Amino acid sequence: MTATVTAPPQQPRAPHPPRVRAARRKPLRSRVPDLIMAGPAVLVFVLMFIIPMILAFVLSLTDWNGYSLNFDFIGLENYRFAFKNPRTVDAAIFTAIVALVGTTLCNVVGLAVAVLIAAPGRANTVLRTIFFYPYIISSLIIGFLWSAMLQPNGVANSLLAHVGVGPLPFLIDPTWAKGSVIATILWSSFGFNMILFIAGIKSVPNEYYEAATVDGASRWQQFRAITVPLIAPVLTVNLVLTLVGLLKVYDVVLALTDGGPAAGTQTIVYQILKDSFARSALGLGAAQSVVLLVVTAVAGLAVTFARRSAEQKVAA
Amino acid sequence: MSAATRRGTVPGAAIKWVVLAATALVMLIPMYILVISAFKPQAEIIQQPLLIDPSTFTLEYLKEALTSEKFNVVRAYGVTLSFVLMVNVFGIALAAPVAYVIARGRKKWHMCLLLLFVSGLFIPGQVTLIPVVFVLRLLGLINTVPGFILFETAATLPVTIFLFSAYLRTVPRDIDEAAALDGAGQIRAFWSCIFPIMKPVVATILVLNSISVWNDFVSPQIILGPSSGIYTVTTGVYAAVGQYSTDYTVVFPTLLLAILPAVIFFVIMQRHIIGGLVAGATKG
Amino acid sequence: MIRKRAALAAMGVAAVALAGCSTAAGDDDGGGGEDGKVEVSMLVNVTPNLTEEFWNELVAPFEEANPGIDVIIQNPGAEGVAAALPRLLAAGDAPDVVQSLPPTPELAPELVDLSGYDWATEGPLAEQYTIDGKYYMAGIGVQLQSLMFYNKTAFEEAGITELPTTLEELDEALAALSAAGWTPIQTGGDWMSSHALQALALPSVVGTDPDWYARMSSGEATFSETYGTFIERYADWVAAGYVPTEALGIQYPDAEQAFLAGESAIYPMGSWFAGTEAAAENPAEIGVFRAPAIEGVSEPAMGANIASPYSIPSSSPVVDEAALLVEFLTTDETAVIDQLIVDGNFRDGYAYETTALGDELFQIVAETPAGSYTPTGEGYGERRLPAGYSEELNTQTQALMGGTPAADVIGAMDDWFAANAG
Repeated sequence: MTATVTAPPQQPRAPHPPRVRAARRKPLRSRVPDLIMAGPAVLVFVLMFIIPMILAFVLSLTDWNGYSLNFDFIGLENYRFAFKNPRTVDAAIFTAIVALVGTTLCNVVGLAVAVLIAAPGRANTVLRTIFFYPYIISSLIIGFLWSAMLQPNGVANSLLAHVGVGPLPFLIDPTWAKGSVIATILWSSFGFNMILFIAGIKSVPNEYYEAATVDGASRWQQFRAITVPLIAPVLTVNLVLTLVGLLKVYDVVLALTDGGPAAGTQTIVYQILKDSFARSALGLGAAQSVVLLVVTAVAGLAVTFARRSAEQKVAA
Repeated sequence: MSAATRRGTVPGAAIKWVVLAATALVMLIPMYILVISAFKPQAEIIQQPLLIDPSTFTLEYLKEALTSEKFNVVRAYGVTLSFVLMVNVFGIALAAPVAYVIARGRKKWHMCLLLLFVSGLFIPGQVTLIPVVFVLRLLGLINTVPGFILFETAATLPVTIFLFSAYLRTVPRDIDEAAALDGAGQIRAFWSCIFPIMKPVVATILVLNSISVWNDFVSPQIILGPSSGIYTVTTGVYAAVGQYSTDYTVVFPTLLLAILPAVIFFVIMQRHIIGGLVAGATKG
Repeated sequence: MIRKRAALAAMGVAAVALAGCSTAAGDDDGGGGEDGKVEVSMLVNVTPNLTEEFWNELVAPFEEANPGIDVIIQNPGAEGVAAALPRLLAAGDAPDVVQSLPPTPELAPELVDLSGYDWATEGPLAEQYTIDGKYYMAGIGVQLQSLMFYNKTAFEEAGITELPTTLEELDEALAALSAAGWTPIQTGGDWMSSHALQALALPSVVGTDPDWYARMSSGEATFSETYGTFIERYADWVAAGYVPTEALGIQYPDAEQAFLAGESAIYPMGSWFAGTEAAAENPAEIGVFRAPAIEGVSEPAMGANIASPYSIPSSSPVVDEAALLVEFLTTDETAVIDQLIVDGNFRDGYAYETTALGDELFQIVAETPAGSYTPTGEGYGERRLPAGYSEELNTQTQALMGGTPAADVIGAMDDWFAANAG
């Protein structure tokens, strides 16, 4: 969710010039209602977001187990341990792989399909629904569904046996399991990227393509020269949303592999939740949370700014 | 695009449709398997995944899932739906006025207010969730529905406020003036005159928040402990399926029941859901 | 291992589902004590043997005898007691009684010191589980861990007439079983991966070095020098196909059923499997032998731990009632025997009728001197490894089963101890 706006020309700014003086007449009177209107939301947000965030940081400096009355401040020890703890490091690497590969695949497939079915028409509408529907199902349930299908004796292997392919270790080999997690994510969420791309493509004025066709440009050339530059803002939104979303992937992993086998598919959030309560290492969990927070914010902002300068270059 | 489509060569079009059809199959087969497997015994599910044999067709497993003591699915529908409704009502009631203040304000603190809320977009919920347990404990709200609603409502605020204030900036100020002339106070004027204009963006928010609350798993799992006895659809599925994920006669019927309301809702409201998501994501 | 068993529960679902709405599960409305009844909540593990129905029936006589007390069974679900309790403590929502969680130094300050109760201090393994001399739990009996259940038909077909008494003999038996076309070892994914490895290693590791737990936790001994050869042997078993890689995809209930159905030859598992066998319909003909040590170990160690330990969180507002309940659960003859039977556990002075397999098990109990009992996993009482050891060992066992070389696994465990011990 970034402050980007899609291609449709921005709605006209509020016309304020003639009214400036009238509006300025009541600042004193309006302050009290302002507070009443803003207060509750701010209170709830501070209570449930800001204070917990500060608390997470404070906890990350302690060795508190979450329930004992005694704990000590241990400085950056939790951070130091997290960076040398193989489980955390593995989880961080796997999360990075999921985020990068997942973001790339979801957007490549999403964009490719969007280009193919952006045109109006009954068939295309049906296809859009088919590609998109998993997005509204909870990822926990998607994970369980695919887990049932990818088990050694599951549906997928049974189908493969019919065509003479031996059972594949979808969930029992650490490398395959990593692939299965990414494939499941791709299956369930590229439809969302596709829908946004379609919205972007539809906003490109048809005349551009007509003019290009007259000029004799091939479809590929049109895609490169017209579609891609004009949907740049949508691409940015898609990249940021997918990336930020995948950095905190958890539900689907919990249901699909429960982090296994051999801890090969534990993600950083899986690690945070396990450490915080089940392993009674709340401080360690908090330290990892803080790192995740920083990484998410930096990654989100970095993509936004990188893309914004790319968009501006295109616009220029 | 129509111009582009016209240029497509015959083999090109054929390849395109083959690719699309194959992708569509990959998308649909799991759903097809989920549906038919809910009515088959274990051996049948494994050996004949794609076929449904009338002689072994049975409603028994679905009935067992419906009456399972571990997961009262009908009750979970009710619980989750009421959570969705409450979060929507509270979220919008809190966000709309503050978004109005932000949209109309020209002071620095208005901008800061917006930044405060928007920063929430980059805070992964899981980071705050664990400390939230302690805040809620302090408030005496842990393991309670109000506590859960409070957190879930707060989680919807960033997106809601961002979209609302973006929308309100496009609403001309003349309307404020007109409302003020009627002698209504600012707050009443907002709810009676401005809020009704926000219909499209409210619809978007309803879609976004409903999907996220309905599908949320971690927050109810952590905030509503076993002593609360409250299960949403997702936490209930986890309790019922978590350790039995290879007993397919439990897995498939339970999953089918769990997704049914969401899928029906999607089929009926498709246009609005997709439209809402597009509006939400691209303006957000 | 007790705490690992936690998370599982399986075939029970069928039973529970069939039982349908016949019994009021009692845990559902979670509040509303009628007429000033004192509510005592008890967090229990629900497993294939210990179904929710079992728990409700178990406490029913207690509720009858104490009309003022209402026992509420809480099921932590897939999460398991061990993972759920810290969260409940953090949320200030701890139950009044916790089942299945042996006390740890970390947890002890949160538990009621039961040293004043005879039933706690005189219970099975009570002393072994003390922390700083204090008694924090009472259990119902003992469960053995270093056992190998075997399929008698398989052994016959493979021409094995003498049960293996050393690891070397076990190796020969495995080769013979494999040659006869049997899957030699039944294991699985999830928590149970490391069970077979520990059955292979601990009898020798602790048998040759009774202070192994202490020396490991202090950092005096390293994993590679004490445990390394057994990791290598396990890797050999994997390479020889004795431990099939596919086992990683098998969950505990499936593993149990596969062995009961006669699909595999040897099933390293705790004594509770005898309870499962007793309840099974038409199981294969199954026997049991003690997990052997390498040649030359005079007294192989036997993994043993408390069965169903109960403890009382000190946050409970109804400690007296909770203590009454725990006393009932750990001393009432019918209650104890019911619990022993269902999970194949045993306790001096509480005899019950057993199957042939149960008799074999009791024979092993009689022949094992109490001095050779050892903890498994992270250990208990004074013999204890850094927290997280069980989980890490399990992870590394899965890596072994997936074909990771033994040397890598040994190195990873050494690294783990370096990061976590001391």
